[in-house]
Amino acid sequence: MKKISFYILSTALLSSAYAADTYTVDPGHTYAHFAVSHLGFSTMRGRIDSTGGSFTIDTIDGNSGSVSVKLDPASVDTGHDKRDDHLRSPDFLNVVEFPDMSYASTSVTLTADGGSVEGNLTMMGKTLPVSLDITAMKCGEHPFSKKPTCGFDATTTIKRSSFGSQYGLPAIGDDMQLWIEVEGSR
Amino acid sequence: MNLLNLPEIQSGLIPFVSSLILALVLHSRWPQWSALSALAGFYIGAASMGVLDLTPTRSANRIFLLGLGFVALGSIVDIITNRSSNSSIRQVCNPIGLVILAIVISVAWLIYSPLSRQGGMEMVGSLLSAIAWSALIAAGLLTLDRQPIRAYTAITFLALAIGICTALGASILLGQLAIGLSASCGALLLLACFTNVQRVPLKFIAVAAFLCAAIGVAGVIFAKVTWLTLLLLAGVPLIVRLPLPVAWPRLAQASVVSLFAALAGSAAVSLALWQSAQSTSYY
Repeated sequence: MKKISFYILSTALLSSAYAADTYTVDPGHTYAHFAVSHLGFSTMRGRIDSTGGSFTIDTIDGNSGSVSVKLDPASVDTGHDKRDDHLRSPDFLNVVEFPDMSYASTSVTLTADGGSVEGNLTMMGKTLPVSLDITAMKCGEHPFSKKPTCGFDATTTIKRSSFGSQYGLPAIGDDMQLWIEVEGSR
Repeated sequence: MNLLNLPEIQSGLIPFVSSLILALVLHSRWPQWSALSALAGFYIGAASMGVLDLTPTRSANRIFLLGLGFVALGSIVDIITNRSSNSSIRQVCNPIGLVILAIVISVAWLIYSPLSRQGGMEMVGSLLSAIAWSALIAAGLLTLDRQPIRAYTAITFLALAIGICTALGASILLGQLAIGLSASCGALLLLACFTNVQRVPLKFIAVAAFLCAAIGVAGVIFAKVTWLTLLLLAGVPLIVRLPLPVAWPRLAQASVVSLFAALAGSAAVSLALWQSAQSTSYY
């Protein structure tokens, strides 16, 4: 009886650790990576850093949650300063006029092997619905900070022209693959 | 390869040919409106680049809309300056001065929002520099309205130099827009060499001056053009005023003025090239 009570209490405590808990995004381990066809010759890849955000995971009530991530388009990095300057210009990300980029979910569905996120991506002053596929997720205690930590990888493909980036089409691809890696702790 | 996707077609051939054809058609029947063929060529070139859209609101499409606004303003000023019965209006206010003021205000409005995020003395300095440069360009071009060869040469080479400097900076889009303006105005320069055009309507110069000023300043704010490069570019509308023998044929006048305008523009382009050469190309 005591053993059963112990297991029930443990499960309740562990479950409450993940039940609708809010995690603060760690900008040092949260990024958006992108890939675009470069003139059809190869794929150009780059990274955009995060400035913050938060997410919740609720494994008790319908395996749902929410996520809100802020990105800094001026931090775009493709490994080449001059190309990065070009990407920041009005030709592409137009960071001086649109310094903010973000993703905010409207619904999250978690499954045993990932899940999906419905939400809105705001980029270059335009907000459009974008779905993410969660490809990996893990929650646990961080080995160094000892804080409860969760992280997930999500991916999607968008058309940059939908957000107003028309320059260079079709030579520079319209399809833009996005990978968003998020980590946070509470 | 689709030829329409080549930048030299979008910003060179398309604006030049469309401007020339429209100018030839309009020149015989409505000479006062033939200069607007260059603006049509500019907008057609922008459309071929796929950037002539209105949403989301950003500096590029504000430039397109304001350009159309200046056609209306320039048309009103043309009416005022052409009618001697309106001399009382001209005693009260200088119509060309009003256009210059409108250009300066428009350019300042265009860049105020992104500059306001900087704040402080950096914002004030950039705003004052933009106002000063816009006023210089507007005054330099608008006062050439009665000298068509010099006016068209100044606009052609100023826009070309702005385009090259901006493309070397960080924005090929802004550069192509300016080069498209240059190409379409070049068609008018060619026409002026072989016709008896006596005056450039202000409805065209007002728009051309605004576009040159706006794209130049946008190059500094949104790309990586420097204020020093713009200062050198301000020499183009000045150097076209060099004295020329009146008896020279128009083609000869245009050739000499173009040579000097190209020299002035190339000084700015050389500076932009040197600054751009600090890092390797990635094309």
